[in-house]
Amino acid sequence: MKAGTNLEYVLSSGHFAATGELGPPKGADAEVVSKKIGLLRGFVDAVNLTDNQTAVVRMSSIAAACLVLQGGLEPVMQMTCRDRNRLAIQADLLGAYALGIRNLLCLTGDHQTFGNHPQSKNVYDLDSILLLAAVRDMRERGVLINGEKAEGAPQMFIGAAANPFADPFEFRPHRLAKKVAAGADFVQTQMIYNVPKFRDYMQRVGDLGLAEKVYILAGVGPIKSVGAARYMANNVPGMDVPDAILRRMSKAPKDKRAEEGISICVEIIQQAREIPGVAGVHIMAIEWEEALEEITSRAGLLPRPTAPKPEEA
Amino acid sequence: MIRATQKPLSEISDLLGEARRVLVLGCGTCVAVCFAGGEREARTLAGALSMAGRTAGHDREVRHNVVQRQCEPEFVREVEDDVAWADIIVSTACGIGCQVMNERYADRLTVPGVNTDFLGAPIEHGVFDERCQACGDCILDTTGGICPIARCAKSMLNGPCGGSQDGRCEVNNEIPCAWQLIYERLLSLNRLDLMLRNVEPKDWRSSRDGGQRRIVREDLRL
Amino acid sequence: MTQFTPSITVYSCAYCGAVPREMAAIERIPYPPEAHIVEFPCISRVQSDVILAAFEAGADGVLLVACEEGNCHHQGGNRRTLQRLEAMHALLAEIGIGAERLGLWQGGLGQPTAFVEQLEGFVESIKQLGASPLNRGERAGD
Repeated sequence: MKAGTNLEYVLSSGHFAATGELGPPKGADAEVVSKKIGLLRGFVDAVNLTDNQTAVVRMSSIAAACLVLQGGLEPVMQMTCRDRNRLAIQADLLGAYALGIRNLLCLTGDHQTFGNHPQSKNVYDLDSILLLAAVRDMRERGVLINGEKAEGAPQMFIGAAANPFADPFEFRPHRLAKKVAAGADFVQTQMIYNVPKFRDYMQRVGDLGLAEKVYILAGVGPIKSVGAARYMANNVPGMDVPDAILRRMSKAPKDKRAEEGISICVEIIQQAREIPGVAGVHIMAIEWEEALEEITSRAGLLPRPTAPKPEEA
Repeated sequence: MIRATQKPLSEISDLLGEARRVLVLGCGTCVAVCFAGGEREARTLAGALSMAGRTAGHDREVRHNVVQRQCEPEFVREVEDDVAWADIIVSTACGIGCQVMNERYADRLTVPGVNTDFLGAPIEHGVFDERCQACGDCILDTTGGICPIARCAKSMLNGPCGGSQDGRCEVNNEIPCAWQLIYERLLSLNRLDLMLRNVEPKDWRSSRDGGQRRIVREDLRL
Repeated sequence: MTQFTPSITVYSCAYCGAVPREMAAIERIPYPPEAHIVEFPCISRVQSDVILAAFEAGADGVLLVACEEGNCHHQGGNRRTLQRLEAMHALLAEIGIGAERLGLWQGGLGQPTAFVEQLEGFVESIKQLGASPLNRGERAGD
């Protein structure tokens, strides 16, 4: 075990993993986080805390990850390169580890023009691949980016994101290979609605021998309404929502559409599970955390396995 | 070259304050080529400021002149007499020209008449695109001659990010994704190996991040 | 109150403006004496600086005479002028002269009568507007 987290245990022992996502509030109210923890606990192995997701200011992912830890759930802290230079990134990493955070997802980060402070100056001192390498070097060589020794180097279980649907499509598996070479232990993908295209991507990921080197969690998410489906199809760069899904959502009676969205999500989980190289799912039910229980239950993902306590191991 | 665009007339008018004698000083190099601050633009701006002043009842006289390179002190020496006459100078050169004027003529304020936008090239008549960010450590040899520092919204060294779609940048779908261009170029050059390797973090000291930069050429000093 | 006599500058294309002007002369159709016609090899040469120069020199109105669509001697000079017209109008409005003091007529080679009517119409419209704000108080009549 590299970091000894529950997520690492689940993946390395061959279980089909399930992670969730928790969007921190746009405010300082810890109660909001606690409430969401209650909706997720027991249904997922770990939960991602987004870092100013879509460049909208929210409670920091470190603080939210701490609250999640206190709430008895394992956090996957997300970190982007948009808002911090390499000093701040490393300082936050050291601090996060000191606070007990052990899973880290390394992202470049959505550009700030999408968010609620489009006037801001961005950083992008590093990109996601350089961030992965930095965290890996901390764990394996005990050094900071400048080569200096860290006193107590963080031992993180390192995650990366992958978007199988972005362009150039042919290059995407190679980009995943770069992330693996930079130190990714696990990967969570963009939300999948186009399963055949994802299967095609996974085939090529397998051809590059990556499935043996990294745990790939297929990203899924329930769609709540036709409007949400359309928005994702047309307005979110790198999202591929096929017409068949849009049709299925609009055909369902109005009061049954949320239910239909959950059914689609469950089916995608079941289809993704059959694809070679898929080690788990990452369920993004953002601002709809209530859906997690039904999705995981209907997809046959319950009960979740738990890592043996250190003293028992 | 440096690309600039003229500030709105109302903004320039506000910069003039109570000045009675205004010199609009153009530059015959970059800003002339991008039609922002050359002789014609300086003349037009001077005419517009003069007439706007007259219709608003200001007692204001506006002259114009142009120097070939406002970014060099020896060129701006030519307009000494005009400067001596003026209460204020509106520079339609880039930010460099405006600063050289302020340094050379310290007893007069020179205000900017243009916004200096970027270092770029025309891609068609009337359309200019950014191409260089003067980071001081050129890597075009590794990226097929396409600069990701200037042209990727995130200045990624290991692109493309997950927002690249149909060859367009997620930030602005009018702008091509630099890494899509790099991918296609390297593919056509049979040099995709350059894109498959992981590069090291960039040393930004040579860029603006290291503070104001200076080049000293001992062989040229007097 | 004396009758206001405006000063009108007509910037004209050397083809679609000059030919009807000469035809008008041959056919002895008089055109308004207030119009000072200045011909350019192509109307696209007349940019903001040239238009401002006319107003600065005392014009109360400026009329551009360009070729008809698809009939430009220089292929697309008339279209370039059309492209710039909005910005020119905006500039004139902003500096207090007024967009309506700049007119455009796209004429045909064989239309002397229409040419003269346009001139008369434009002179009349400027008479209605009165003197350019730059000329007020300097000349009698407004």
